[in-house]
Amino acid sequence: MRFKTHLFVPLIAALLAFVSCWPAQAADPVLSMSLGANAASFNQSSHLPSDFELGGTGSASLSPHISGVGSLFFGVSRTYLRGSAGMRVTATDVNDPNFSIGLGLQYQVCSEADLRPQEWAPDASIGWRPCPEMMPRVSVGAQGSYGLDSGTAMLLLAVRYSLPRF
Amino acid sequence: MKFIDILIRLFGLSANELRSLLERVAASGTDAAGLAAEWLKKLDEVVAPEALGRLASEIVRELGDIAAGKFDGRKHPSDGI
Repeated sequence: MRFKTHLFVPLIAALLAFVSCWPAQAADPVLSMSLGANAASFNQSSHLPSDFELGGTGSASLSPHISGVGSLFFGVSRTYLRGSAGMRVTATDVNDPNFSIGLGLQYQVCSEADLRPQEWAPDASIGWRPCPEMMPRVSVGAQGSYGLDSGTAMLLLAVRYSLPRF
Repeated sequence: MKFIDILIRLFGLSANELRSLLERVAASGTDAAGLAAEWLKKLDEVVAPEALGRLASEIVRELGDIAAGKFDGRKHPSDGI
């Protein structure tokens, strides 16, 4: 099943531009930035991990369910840079700060096109803070995404440390 | 194609990939196997068509709020993944 991804480009770009330019009023978006590491698996490899990644993520929660998200990671073994930006919708209890499942659509780019092509990719992500009292800034999670043009998947097991300022 | 149909197809693709990862972890017999099985159950709940239908109506309403400049952000661990 293939989607005509060019149909999404103007829609998402307009939404992101609109949101980023709009002045905050009664309440500001909740901004978050994290440092993190991933065990990543690509379609070409059946085992996990096929690489380890180091990098960071950023997000702006605009409403109870809708967030803008982005990430930049460096592949340690194959020495690549991979980035993504898009929107994510929280599909679980929006008032639970310790567990959530997000469903989103991101545009991804990678310095190694053979590894990850430049394309739109829907993703499903799970985030969990295992010890909110002892380690409130540490979370773990998993993510699966599917490239709409290439039809290839990427899987992540992740650990994150939320930066104190956020 | 309706908005909800697009959501079901898009999120179904990514959820299938995440499901395959969690199934591998759940079958691994490691300490994380039980946790992965629990997450699998929750994932299946949120990508059920009726759950996505409810979510789609929330998205439409909240997009209107955002367009009106009304922000109401929350902390979501999955946003940082």
